[in-house]
Amino acid sequence: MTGQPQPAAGLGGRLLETALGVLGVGLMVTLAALLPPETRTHGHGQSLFALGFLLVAGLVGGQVASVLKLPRLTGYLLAGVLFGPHGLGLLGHREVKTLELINALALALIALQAGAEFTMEMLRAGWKSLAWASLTQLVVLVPGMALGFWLARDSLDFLRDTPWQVGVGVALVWAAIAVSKSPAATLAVVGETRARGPLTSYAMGMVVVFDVVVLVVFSVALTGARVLMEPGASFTVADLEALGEELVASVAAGTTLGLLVAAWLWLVKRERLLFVVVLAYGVTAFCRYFHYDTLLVFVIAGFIVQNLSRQGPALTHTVAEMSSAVMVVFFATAGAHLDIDVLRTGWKMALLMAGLRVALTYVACKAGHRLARDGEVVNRMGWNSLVSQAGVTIGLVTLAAEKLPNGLGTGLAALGIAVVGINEIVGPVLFKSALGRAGEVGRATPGDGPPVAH
Amino acid sequence: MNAILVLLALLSLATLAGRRGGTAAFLSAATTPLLVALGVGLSPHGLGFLLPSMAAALLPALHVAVAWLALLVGLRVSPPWTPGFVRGTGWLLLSLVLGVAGALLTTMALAVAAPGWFPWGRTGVAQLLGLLWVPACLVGGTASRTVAALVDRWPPGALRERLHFVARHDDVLAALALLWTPWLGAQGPAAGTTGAANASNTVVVVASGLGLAAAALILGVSRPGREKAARPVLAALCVVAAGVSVMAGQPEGATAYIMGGVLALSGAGQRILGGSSGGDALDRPVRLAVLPLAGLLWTPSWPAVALGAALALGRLGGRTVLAVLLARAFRQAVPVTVLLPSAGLAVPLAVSLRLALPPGGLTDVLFAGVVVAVCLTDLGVFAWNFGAWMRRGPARPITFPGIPRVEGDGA
Repeated sequence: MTGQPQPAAGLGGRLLETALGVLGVGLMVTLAALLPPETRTHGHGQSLFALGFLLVAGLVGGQVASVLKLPRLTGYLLAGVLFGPHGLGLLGHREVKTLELINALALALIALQAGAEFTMEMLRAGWKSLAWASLTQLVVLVPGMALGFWLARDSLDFLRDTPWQVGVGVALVWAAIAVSKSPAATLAVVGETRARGPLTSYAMGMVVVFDVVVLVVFSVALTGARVLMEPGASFTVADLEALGEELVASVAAGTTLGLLVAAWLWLVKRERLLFVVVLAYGVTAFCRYFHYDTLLVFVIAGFIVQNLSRQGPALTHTVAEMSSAVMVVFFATAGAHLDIDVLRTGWKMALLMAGLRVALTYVACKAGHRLARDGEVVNRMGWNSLVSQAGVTIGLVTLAAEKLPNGLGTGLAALGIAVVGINEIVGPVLFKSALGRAGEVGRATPGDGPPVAH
Repeated sequence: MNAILVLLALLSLATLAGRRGGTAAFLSAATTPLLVALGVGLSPHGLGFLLPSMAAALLPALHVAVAWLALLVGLRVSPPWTPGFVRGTGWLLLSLVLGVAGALLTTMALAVAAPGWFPWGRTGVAQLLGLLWVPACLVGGTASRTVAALVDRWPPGALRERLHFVARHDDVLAALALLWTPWLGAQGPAAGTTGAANASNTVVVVASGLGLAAAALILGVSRPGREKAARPVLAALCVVAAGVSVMAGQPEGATAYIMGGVLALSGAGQRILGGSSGGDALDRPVRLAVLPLAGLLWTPSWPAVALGAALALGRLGGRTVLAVLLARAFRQAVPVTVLLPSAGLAVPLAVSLRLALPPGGLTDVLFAGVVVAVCLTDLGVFAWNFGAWMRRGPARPITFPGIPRVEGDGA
């Protein structure tokens, strides 16, 4: 039911197990329905019920997805969609908001694991591929998405009858958002499939690199949009100074953190789970206070622990041990956020944009692989790993909604959430399928460290 | 986020404080009072370091922690077909009767002698019994994991087995006494007659426990080879138990205990807990983290101190009689200090009671009384051991009297 290694079971056994799991969730739904309605005013009782229920429903959803040969995280997401405020409404907006506390822990675990997955050897071997792929992604995806969006502006209510400069500005922001990937989904699929190989390394390298790249691109796009939309506004290098400082400071903080973590793991052999939890929340609070990029800080820390000390396996093992339950809640909460109504009303445009993004990603990947002379597997299937979008993208969409004037942000956010919803569901399925076709599934050995999440 | 950081700081502190071993057992006797005092010190009633809003934000975590602990206690229940069950049950019943009777006698005597001290005032004996038997069960009935750990170090034999069984099971009365909580809900013994409404609330607790146990079984937690996989499911169900209990205004301790008990009777308890240690690693940090949080809920009052002292005294009496009876039956010396250490789950289960009842007069006195009783008992044991160590000479290793020092001991 969870991501722990389990004895092999036949299809019949797994189907029975899944059916019983669904029955268990049904029992809990009944339990909730039997509670008198007035009890729903008991604040944290409802939130606690929501958390527990979402965890169970997510685990069962993961099991169902697994039986259907889909990534478990798809099951977690769909469980969130089904029982969330936009689905059956068993969980309200307030409960989902409360559960976001788990996100800080989940993102820290994901980033630590992502950093720890990188070795210097991998970087030496793959830097050329990553560099070309990143460049082509930017060169193809940003102008392509911006152009596509601009051409479709008449079909978008919130852009109709606006001056062309406004359309270009919003299109730039949209293109920057489209560049973002999902480290969480990628790591989760790699963890579930215990994959190892060139495609896995390429995918993880790209999502980590783009976690940094997207910050720069988004910041530039937002500044550009402001210049286009606001009379008298101009572009100065000073606009990027703060971002540069933030990134440099994040790298420095991550390096320091990595050294401290390595020293702790070397000196203290017990209560490591507790240590990681304290670290996740403590450093997240620290990063928020100083406006550092939390994900980058943890990625760098994981990288330092893996490459400058012998504590890499201890870190990955500890992170993996606690990831399974945390990731279920993380993805199920992400699913609960998906506004089905928005998808229902704007599905045509969302589908168009998602399709365009996939097409441009394919073209960019092919160009990048050719220039970098990548191997056959990456060349053929690399694009599958770059479709997923999730939490980072939603964060950017929300930020864009706040920054763009005159209600443009609201319209953009609605479309953005709908596109993320599609990519969030489709991306992991494509990636898992590609890993299977590439023959990389199950190739991770115990020495590689256990998977991060299932 | 602030509340989470506070919680994690408390959890870290509790983990560092909660080590095992002869020396650690010696020192851990002082752990409960220290951690509770820490919570009281941080609370709005103490130094005020924690704002009431922050303390309130920690309540959900407290509900879950208590449910988790109660679940683990339930999982430790031995099925009736376990070897030695019948004999062990005999000693368990004796232990429970002695402990609860001792605590009940002293508290009743105090309540009758000084009725004006307590929020319930002058009232009949039957109603007083209905009120005081809950704290008496919480304090008198529980031995502790420390007792089990200490007894584990004795040479194998019938006495060790019996005591181990007793220490393993005598939380049962404390957990089930929580089912009485609805009858305490309307502030005082007069509430003992509210009948059908209270009964339906109790039915809700029992039904929730049974329903969640069924869900756990359906979700496959009892299947062999899936012990690790079962833990997230159980944790999730504990959170559900806490949520359902809060919504229904019932103590989550009882709900989770019933769930654990049913799972244990299905034969899954030992497997899930993971061997002979009885899931020590699963519950010790949580149990110790609950203590400062209990301190946060503590409202100091003299009636509570008096009630706590009476409970502790009664428990001491009951345990002394038990030690004498055990020594006679097994012809082996049984140091009463080994039977006394802190009732590990008394405070968490009292927290469950406190959270389920409306705060104020009666609730605060009952809750604080249990906390005081536990702290007094532990401080007494610590002082006794410290004195014994000083008499032996400070150069001798620090260890619990009556317990051989074994390799790996140490704070």
